[in-house]
Amino acid sequence: MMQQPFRFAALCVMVCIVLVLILYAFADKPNDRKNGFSRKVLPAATLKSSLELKYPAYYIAGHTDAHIYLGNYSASQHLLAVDQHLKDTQQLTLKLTPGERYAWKLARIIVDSPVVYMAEGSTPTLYRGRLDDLHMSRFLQQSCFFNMLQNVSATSFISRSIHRDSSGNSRNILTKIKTDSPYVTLGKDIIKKQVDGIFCTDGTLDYDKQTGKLVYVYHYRNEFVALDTNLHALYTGHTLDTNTMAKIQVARLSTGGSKFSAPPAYVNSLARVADNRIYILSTLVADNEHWQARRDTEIIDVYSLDNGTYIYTLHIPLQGKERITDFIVKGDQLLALCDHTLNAYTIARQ
Amino acid sequence: METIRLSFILLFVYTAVSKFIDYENFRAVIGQSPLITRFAPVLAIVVPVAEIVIALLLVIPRYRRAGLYASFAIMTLFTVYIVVLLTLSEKIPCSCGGVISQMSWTQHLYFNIVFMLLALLGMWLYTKQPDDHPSSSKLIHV
Repeated sequence: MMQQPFRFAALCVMVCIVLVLILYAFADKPNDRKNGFSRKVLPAATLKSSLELKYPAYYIAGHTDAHIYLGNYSASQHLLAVDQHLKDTQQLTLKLTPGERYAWKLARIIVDSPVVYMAEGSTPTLYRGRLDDLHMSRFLQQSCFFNMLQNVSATSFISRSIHRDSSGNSRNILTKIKTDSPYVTLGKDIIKKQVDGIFCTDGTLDYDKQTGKLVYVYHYRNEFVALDTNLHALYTGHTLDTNTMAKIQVARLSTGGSKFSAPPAYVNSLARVADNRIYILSTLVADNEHWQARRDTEIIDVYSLDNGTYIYTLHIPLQGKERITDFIVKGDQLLALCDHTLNAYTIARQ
Repeated sequence: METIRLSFILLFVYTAVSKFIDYENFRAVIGQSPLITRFAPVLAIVVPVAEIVIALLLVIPRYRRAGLYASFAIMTLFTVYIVVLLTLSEKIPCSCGGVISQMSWTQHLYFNIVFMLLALLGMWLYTKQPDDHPSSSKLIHV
């Protein structure tokens, strides 16, 4: 009689394991099937140096020839300056006048030497200071709400903002914010809606100072748009994969918000522009790559900024389990942030 | 024995009610789990209902034993699900309801295992009792 509950328990554990494994076997897994495209892969990047950071949650705020500046999502005024050989670090703190109030969790630092900005788009608040003294003061009072900001000159910014039309539908649009009239210009048709207008249009915005071009790369479709600083679209480029439509499902909640109701199919998780090229971190494996290519490697596709054509692919070997959360390219060097570590790689060029 | 029973009733009623209160959100979030996307609309109802039913079984003296077995079964299912998700999946959302959602995944795992062991202990204690008549054992075991 005493045996019975344990026999039941053992049986129960077994049945549950089988059941969940069946669920797993039938679940849609990314890269499970062929993705229908091929890559031209250059020799893998080699790790040159790496630096352990004290805290997690860093992002790359900007760089100069000699330094890389890291901001931190959980400490808005903290700035870490790292020298280009990843040897020396310097902890900096942005100085604000006491009593300044802003949504610190949303604040992001942008370093564009010799200027440093701190932007927060839900109040919205923008501070500006000099990199050498870090005294920040309010800047650009005539602004609009935004959820992404890129400075394009000393007096103008491109932001991504949510636009609500007359019928109450919201969607992401790009806007230009300037210090003089007209303060805010809307670029209505640059970002194209596919599903809900907010999630389906999510992506990365980056700016190339040399050519004055901006690129907006969508997360969930094989597309990117290049534009100039006056919000004129230059061309629409396509990434290698075949996801023309964002594969996402969004549930609208009665509270007014919305949430994903299925795992979103990421295509391009991050993009950076440098030296007239677009570097796009892809989550999909090509047919001519090993099916587990992404297990210990990140895949970065490189496109021409002139016309958006594909050039080649870089494989970045990961050091541990952590994936790349942010990166920049400086000449033949790629600096990648993986959770607690900043890694410098030498990359092949063509 | 009574403590085990009460803690399970509390656990199931609490999580089921918080799932129902935040139903829209719960339904969306369980859809984000790669394992159960397809079954999300069904599971969003079945899971909290099952939790309520088990709590009821535990409340009614006659079905107490069945309730304990069912508690063990459902906790095992949740635990195995977490283990599989943790080991095999890249991204993991959570939607367990109320404060229990605030736990990290490892905390969650330990929490579940503790409850599994509790149910097992309850099942064992139950079979050890010579008198299977719950009403008489109540006073002795409080």
